[in-house]
Amino acid sequence: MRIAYREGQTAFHRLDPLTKLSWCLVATIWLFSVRELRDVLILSATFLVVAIVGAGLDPVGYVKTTLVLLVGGASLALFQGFFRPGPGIDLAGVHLSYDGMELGAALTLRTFGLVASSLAFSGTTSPRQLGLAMQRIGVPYRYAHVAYLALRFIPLLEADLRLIDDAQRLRRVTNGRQKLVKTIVALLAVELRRADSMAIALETRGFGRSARRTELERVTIQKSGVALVLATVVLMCIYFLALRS
Amino acid sequence: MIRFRGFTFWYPGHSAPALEDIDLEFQDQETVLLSGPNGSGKSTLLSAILGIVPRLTDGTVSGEVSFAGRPVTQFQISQLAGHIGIVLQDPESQVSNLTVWDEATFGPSNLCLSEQEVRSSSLEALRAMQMAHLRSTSVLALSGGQLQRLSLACLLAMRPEVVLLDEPMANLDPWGVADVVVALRTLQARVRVVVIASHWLDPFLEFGTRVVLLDQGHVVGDFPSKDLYQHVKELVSNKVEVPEICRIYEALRLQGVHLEPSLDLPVLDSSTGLHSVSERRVRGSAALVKLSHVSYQYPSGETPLVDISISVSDRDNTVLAGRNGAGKSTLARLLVGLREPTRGTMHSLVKKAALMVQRPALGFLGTTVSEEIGYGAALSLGDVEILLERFSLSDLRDQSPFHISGGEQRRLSLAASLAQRPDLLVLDEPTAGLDAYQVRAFLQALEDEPVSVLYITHDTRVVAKVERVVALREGGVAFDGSVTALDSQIASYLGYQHVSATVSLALRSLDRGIPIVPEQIQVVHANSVS
Repeated sequence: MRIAYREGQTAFHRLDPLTKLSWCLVATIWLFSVRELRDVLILSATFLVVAIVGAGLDPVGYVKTTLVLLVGGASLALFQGFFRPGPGIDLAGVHLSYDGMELGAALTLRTFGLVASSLAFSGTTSPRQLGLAMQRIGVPYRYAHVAYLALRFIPLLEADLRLIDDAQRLRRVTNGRQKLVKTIVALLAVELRRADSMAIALETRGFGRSARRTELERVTIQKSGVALVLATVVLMCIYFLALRS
Repeated sequence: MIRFRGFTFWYPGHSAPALEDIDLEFQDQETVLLSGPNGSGKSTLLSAILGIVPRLTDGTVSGEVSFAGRPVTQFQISQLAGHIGIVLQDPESQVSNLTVWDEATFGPSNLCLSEQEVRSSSLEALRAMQMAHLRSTSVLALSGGQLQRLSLACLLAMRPEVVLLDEPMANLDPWGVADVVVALRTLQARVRVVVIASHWLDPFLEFGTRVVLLDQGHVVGDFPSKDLYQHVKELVSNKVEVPEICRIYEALRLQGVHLEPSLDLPVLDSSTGLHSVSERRVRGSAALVKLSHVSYQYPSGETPLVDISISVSDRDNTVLAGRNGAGKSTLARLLVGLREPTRGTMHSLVKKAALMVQRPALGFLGTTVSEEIGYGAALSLGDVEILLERFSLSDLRDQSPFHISGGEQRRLSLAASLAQRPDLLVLDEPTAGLDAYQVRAFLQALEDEPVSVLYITHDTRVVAKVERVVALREGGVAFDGSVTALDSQIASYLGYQHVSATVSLALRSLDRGIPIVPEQIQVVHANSVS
């Protein structure tokens, strides 16, 4: 899974999850506050470069992940161009406005930037760190661990889905809707049993017995992380000030 | 330490109690082997000790279960953590962290021990279970045996007084079984009471102190393990599999070798040798699938099969064996046409293939048991009824296939597979968790079917019944031949000596023709060999 955590020694791996999350938030705010298509393009490209250099994001993997977005984005640009009034071009008798297409393209580019910053976060933050970060910002450990638990289940779900597909192909279940329904029913039945076992295992190991538990690791906010977030905020402020003048 | 007094429990909507009028006491320093056929109430009894029934399952209770003199109903389940620990069947579903260390420290952390205590108790438990070197390993990379050892380490880290284990050997390969036996010996020395629920007694006999037999929710036998031989009839009458060691002494006695029965392997004098004897039918001859120099490579580049040449004939009865990662599942999927070879050629005359996966529920398509059997098969209602009857599923015909027991799901999956009238049937660990009687019924159901059957299994009870074994090693064929031709090297590689006392005994003196079960042992006296 391209969004999954991978071990490494990049700059982002060394940052604490809270500052990485803050950086992602600043990046998102900046991306969605910029209006000019050219600026959105530059900003998204910058975040992509930061993700590749700073977080070791695999460019090929990124392209594969965002391929669907590209198709959706092109459709969005055409859709906006079709419905927004104003000067534009005529294609096979259909009028597409420049404003509309620019709006659609900007939305798509923002999403590309957002995906890059999110992958920089998710690819360098272990589920364990994420859980600890959630606890640090006040989320009770029971809920923080559930998020961690969900990640433990993903590979099991993937393996079960492969087995379901094998069994269905041999029994010639090919109808798309029928196959989907049968897959969901079988998966739910098996996973509910698994969840039952998990619930018992958690309870018999004292999970939820008291409001607190002993944590062997702590999330400490690092100066380098704070510096990255501040630098991004300062750059964003300079950009908007420059835009005003 | 633990006491049942007149304890009866009914699951909601069931017509008979799961446990009835149980009076039992488990004392300090006991290792209790709780045995009985599938559905006899073993798991329910373990759950009652922790109060899981009725707290998490609902149902009706009378009588009492107490721990250290207090009724368990006075405790929350999580309050018993640190006092009583349990490992349920399928340890994979109970691991809630991503690394071995996170998992080992999870329990002690929940008990709010100091950081120092959490670290030291977890490390000590991992060392005891020989898992300390794997502490930074992902739990996804562990084998079945390692997962079971990790589950035991997690319990030990919480320093409980009582440990409950539900079918700890189910789903394990022979090497996993060997691993867990070593781990249990260590565990036994560190806790006050161990209760092991298992329909298979053999791996636990050397350290179990007491055997308790259950049948249909009643205690029908309770005796010290060392007195096993005096209770063999009791085991048989209560449908408990007689341990292989008892059957070995009996097989020897019937052939004139009179030895004092014990729980240890017999020592034969130099004038007595063993051979393997078995009657086998050769079923088919025409090749159904033929692979020539076939290799298979995943898109990731991993190559689980390299240069394989084998053929499967019509009405063949074959066990596909090998350690984890040897390529068994991939080969089976090639044979049924779910995968295409990336190199080599495959000629297949298979018109219809069926696959029973390890968790049969994943393959279910019907909303009721009878619909599942008829799904996609050209069967009349009468045909469905015949299959329901044949597989003892008639009473369940209107139930959801997802809500029946594991053993019933396996029977249903087999019935649904045969309803498709396949010419090749692949069964992936079909007997995991089934008692001896269910295994026998399962194999009998297939005996006269006009179908080629490929078992992917480590179960020697199945191996003993087939005509042919194909053993894979590192993606290639290490052995392909009759079970009677199995040599010591292959039997050892497959780890059969860890799950079969017969193989263990045979390996002392035989290089080939290894008997798999006591019934295949043939004694050869030196003075009778000309």
